[in-house]
Amino acid sequence: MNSFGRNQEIHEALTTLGKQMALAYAQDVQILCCGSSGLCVLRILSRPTKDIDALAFIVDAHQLKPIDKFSPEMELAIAKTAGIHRLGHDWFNPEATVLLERGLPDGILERSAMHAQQYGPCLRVQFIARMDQVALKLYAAMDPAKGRRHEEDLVVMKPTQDEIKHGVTWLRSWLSNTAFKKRLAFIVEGLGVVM
Amino acid sequence: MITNRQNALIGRKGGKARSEQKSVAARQNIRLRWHRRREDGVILLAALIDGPWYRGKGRTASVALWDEHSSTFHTVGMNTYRDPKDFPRISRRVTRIKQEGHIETKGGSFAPVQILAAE
Repeated sequence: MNSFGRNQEIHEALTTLGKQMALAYAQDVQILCCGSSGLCVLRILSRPTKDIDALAFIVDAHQLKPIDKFSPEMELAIAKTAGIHRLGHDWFNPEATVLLERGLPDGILERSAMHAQQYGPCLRVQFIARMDQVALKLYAAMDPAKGRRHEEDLVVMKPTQDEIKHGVTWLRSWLSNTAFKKRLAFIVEGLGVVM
Repeated sequence: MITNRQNALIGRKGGKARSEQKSVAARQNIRLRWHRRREDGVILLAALIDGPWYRGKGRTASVALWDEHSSTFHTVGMNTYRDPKDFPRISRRVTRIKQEGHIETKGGSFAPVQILAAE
């Protein structure tokens, strides 16, 4: 099984997916993506990853819709692309859509428009902007058991004060208990930011 | 003889008996003679054998399967989503196969220190 070691490989896989979707007469879709592949595309971090995390469908150019499942035509195109590029069957997966349950940072869609790319006639992918990558990383770092690796990622990403404040504002907008707030304050303090 | 009988009871093959585990261990030892470990005990990329599980230090797990064909370690990683209202209660967990490169390669994050077993 292959993995994406380079930016170019991600674009190649998405180009193939776009072609396969067109051949399968799939409906036009716009998808907001995040995760390691997004970090790689934005040249923020570089590490091998075999998957692209689809966050949400973009409908009517300004609305986000959770991805329950892809259309059968798109599923077929994903499987065919996996075969062509020797990727795992779940290389393009909607796991991250769970983040929509609590809402995403304000303006995420507008910012991601800068990182949009059309792959064939029916697939458009937008990767979330650096500021929002930092916010999502901050949430991932909240995990007391496995958050360490995300904290390390944050250190490597060297977020600015504004980027961290943006993430904190998003996390503080949620209904949360004291333990959550304490953990957030601990992480932010560790990043050397005074809130 | 008693020792052999005890070994047989626990499924261990001693003496001249061949087993997949012994074969893998022998191949690993040969490679380690040619490509010495780093000072911190990490097994070099050139010394890895295709197929076995390795124990080590990784980003997503401490055990990984080495796939020489794609030059990648496969690990089982978990993404945990916690409920902010009832933190740190877990609201959802997704377990998936993840990839990590060897620590020596660009962007790599898995540092193997011990071969565990053949697949």
